Amino acid sequence: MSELVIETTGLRKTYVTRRGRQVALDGLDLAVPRGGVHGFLGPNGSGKTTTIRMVLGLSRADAGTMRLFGTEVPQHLPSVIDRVGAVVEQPRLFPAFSGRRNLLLLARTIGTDGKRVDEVLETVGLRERGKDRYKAYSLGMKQRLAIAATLLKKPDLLVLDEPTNGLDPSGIREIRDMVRALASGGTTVLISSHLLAEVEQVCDSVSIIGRGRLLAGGSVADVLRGTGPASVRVRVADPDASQAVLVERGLMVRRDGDLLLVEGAADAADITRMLAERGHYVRELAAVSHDLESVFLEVTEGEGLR
Amino acid sequence: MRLLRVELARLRSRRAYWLLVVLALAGALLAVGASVNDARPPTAGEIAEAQRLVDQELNQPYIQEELERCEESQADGETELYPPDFDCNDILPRLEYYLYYEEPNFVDDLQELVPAVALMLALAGALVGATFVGAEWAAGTIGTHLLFEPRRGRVFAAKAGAVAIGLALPALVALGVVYLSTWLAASEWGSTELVSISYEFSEDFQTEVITAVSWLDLGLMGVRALLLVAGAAVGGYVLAMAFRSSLAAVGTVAAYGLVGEGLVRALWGGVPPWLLSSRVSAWLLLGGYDIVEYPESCNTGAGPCEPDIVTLSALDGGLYLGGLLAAGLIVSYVLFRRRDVT
Repeated sequence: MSELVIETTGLRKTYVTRRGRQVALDGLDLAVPRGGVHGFLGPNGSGKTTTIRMVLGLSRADAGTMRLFGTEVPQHLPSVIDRVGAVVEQPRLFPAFSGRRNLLLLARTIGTDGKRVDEVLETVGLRERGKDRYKAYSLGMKQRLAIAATLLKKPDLLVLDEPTNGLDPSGIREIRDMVRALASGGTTVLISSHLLAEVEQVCDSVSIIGRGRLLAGGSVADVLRGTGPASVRVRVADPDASQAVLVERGLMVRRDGDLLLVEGAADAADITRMLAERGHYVRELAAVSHDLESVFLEVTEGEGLR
Repeated sequence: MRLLRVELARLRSRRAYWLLVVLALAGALLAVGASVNDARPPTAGEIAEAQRLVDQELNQPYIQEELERCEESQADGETELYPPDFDCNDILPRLEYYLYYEEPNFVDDLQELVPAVALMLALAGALVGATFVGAEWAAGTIGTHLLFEPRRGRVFAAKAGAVAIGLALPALVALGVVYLSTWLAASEWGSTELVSISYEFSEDFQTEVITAVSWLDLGLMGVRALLLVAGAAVGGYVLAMAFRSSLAAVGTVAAYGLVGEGLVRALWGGVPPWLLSSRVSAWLLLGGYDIVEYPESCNTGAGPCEPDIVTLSALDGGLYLGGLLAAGLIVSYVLFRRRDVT
């Protein structure tokens, strides 16, 4: 059994628009491991939704290969589609039908009964509103109903494209809790999002793409580590002299007002020792850790994407 | 089959479907009602009213004046106003002029009603087919559907099947009512003899031709009407699927109606045999459809007046319409299969 639920190699897609040919994906290699929550990050227009569409058979790739659960798609998509639930871009259901009616039609498509519909409505907390028309739902309710639709299949992989777009803080929390619950139940969840703080809270691994190419990927810890050494923020009485001492000892030092941001030290204790030896005493010292946002900005800036 | 059942369930859930079907059925019932009403012999009250109008007309001075003029001209041997064999009493109003009653004839009435009802249902069918899938493109639910069933061929076929069946069933009911009511009216007040009256076109007169008709012929006419309705529904679906918009599909049909039928007929100065309306008539009518064109000599009197007659059989109509629908299905399916779904 493949350890990757999604795998793409050399994926290419070009759109022909009035402004000419727009390259959406430029040889994307993507690997989404089985289990946990995988963040799929990238600036607007980087190709996230295009990738998802192609993997799910909604769009055609110009070149490259794609696999879902180790099965080549779109050629053999029908054999694995029952294991995948997805909400692409935004929930799209019939506005004039009730939430329950919408789900019932989808359930019948895959040979599931009304009992399962009630179960998933219960799961997303919409049991009481199931008979209301879809168009009367709030954005958050629509998002939850769309997730309920994906759960009809009891999927092994859940793909959520910008699931928190337009939601208020409580809606975002609901989705986050739901994603966590599903992941802990064994479902692999792929979240495409630009809300990095949100993603960081729930993701175990990430892929960052830009201009249709993979810029960074792996477990969140690996990606944070891979962007370079953590820096240390140092407050001293004489920042100029202290900076000179540390640079002299081979460290990279940047000024942030009266503070020094020091990179390259294997151990924070080395900094205190180097300064103390030259008569400068540290008043404050704190490790500055990378977060996903800084990594994202760093890799996208590095590619000239911002 | 599962997909087809789902699509039929969705079709039945649509208010637009019921609205259009009820409207079409109401139109069909109105046509049937009008036909039955025409078949009914005039009542004593209607005869009395017609007689009153005849008497009123007889008392008009110009009638008497015209009668006298006719009699005088015939007595004088003048033939300018009235031919010698003209019966001057024909000038006088008669009861039947005001009763407008023709005894019902099962076959003839059926030949009028079935195409009328079929066309009403076909129009409704085309709209149902177009809006059924147009609504899906507008709401973006096609993409959602494909995430549950990615085999586009099956999805395409299920939707086409649903609109065909969804319209064929009400059409079956409507045509059943047409056949039954026409039969009952004819058997009660007129003739149920299985003969069709048509006219043979010739240089200066139309000869009545009486042809025996079988129940099979009448049954096949109903089947053709049913297929036309189902085909129109699929046609509307095919257009909306290709354009991804019900509005574009309806616009295309309207544009064809205006340009294809209206403008072409006006410029052509007749009815080209390749027009949809010609082929639909050929498909529906018993014995096919005759397109008769008279040469200019018929108006000027210079030269022989031999009408040019093109006869389109039901097979001609069926092959043309079927071919058109098949081509539409293929193009629409290829577009659906190849294009990205957003």
